[in-house]
Amino acid sequence: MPNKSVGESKKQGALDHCEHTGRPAYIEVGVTLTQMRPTGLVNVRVRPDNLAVESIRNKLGCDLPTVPGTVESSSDCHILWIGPTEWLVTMSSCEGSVASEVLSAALAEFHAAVNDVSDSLHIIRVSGEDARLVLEKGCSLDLHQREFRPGRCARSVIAKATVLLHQTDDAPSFELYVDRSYAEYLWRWLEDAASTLVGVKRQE
Amino acid sequence: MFQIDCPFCGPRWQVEFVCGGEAHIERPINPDMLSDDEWADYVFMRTNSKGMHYERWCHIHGCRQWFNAARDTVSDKIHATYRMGEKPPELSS
Repeated sequence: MPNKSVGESKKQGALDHCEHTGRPAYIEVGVTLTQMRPTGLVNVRVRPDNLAVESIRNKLGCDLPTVPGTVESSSDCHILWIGPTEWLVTMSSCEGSVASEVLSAALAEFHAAVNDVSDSLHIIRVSGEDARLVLEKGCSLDLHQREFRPGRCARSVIAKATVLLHQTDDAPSFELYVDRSYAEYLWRWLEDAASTLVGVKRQE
Repeated sequence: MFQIDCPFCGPRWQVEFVCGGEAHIERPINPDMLSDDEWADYVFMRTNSKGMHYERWCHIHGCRQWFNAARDTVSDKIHATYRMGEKPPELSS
């Protein structure tokens, strides 16, 4: 049964009913899908000059990544690079409203936009030895480990849905940040992609 | 697979991009001084070149940034991409 313990939120998730469909296929192929429960997601737009980066570092203990497609992490937060002036901050220790207040305070003196997007994005974790095979069925990014490693992120398209993809470890595990209205579609597509891999593996 | 080299993210699949039409069209400094024909030329008229064409693209499903591309309209080959505000490279088709 997928792990539901990440972040004890009482909010209903868009995928709550999908976790009980009981399709075992994706377990056979070494892929586990998990609905993640983040507590705070904040979109930040600011020009990354030294003062703004320092102000965020002082508040969160985490740098703004300025290299395209990279993630900076601290004990309770990740900052994902979306664009040269745009980031997604994920906080595991507080709600989005609190996280956005913290960031608003950090950037009060700068020309910046801070938006709580906790309710608009859903996170699906795809992990296991065959995770890359499943994602590669619908994604044009080069996910080979020489190119895409833990600590990398990329905003791209998976099976026609816009997704922010973040590799978190070498299992490999990928976290897909997807708009809430696409979450169920993407979940079912991932289940289907994984289940057809069973056939591929049996033919080998 | 048709790839476009985003100046920020590197080469990505074309479906992540949208085209925004011809690039390097400057808004007239004083629109009040223009005739209707001159204004219509600025608003509506675009070159329809056979060969090298400079156009704007947006990496809408990626970094969401606008940039410029020099594309050959015959072969569809993109010869260069460069950031907004940068001068177009000298290219011959």
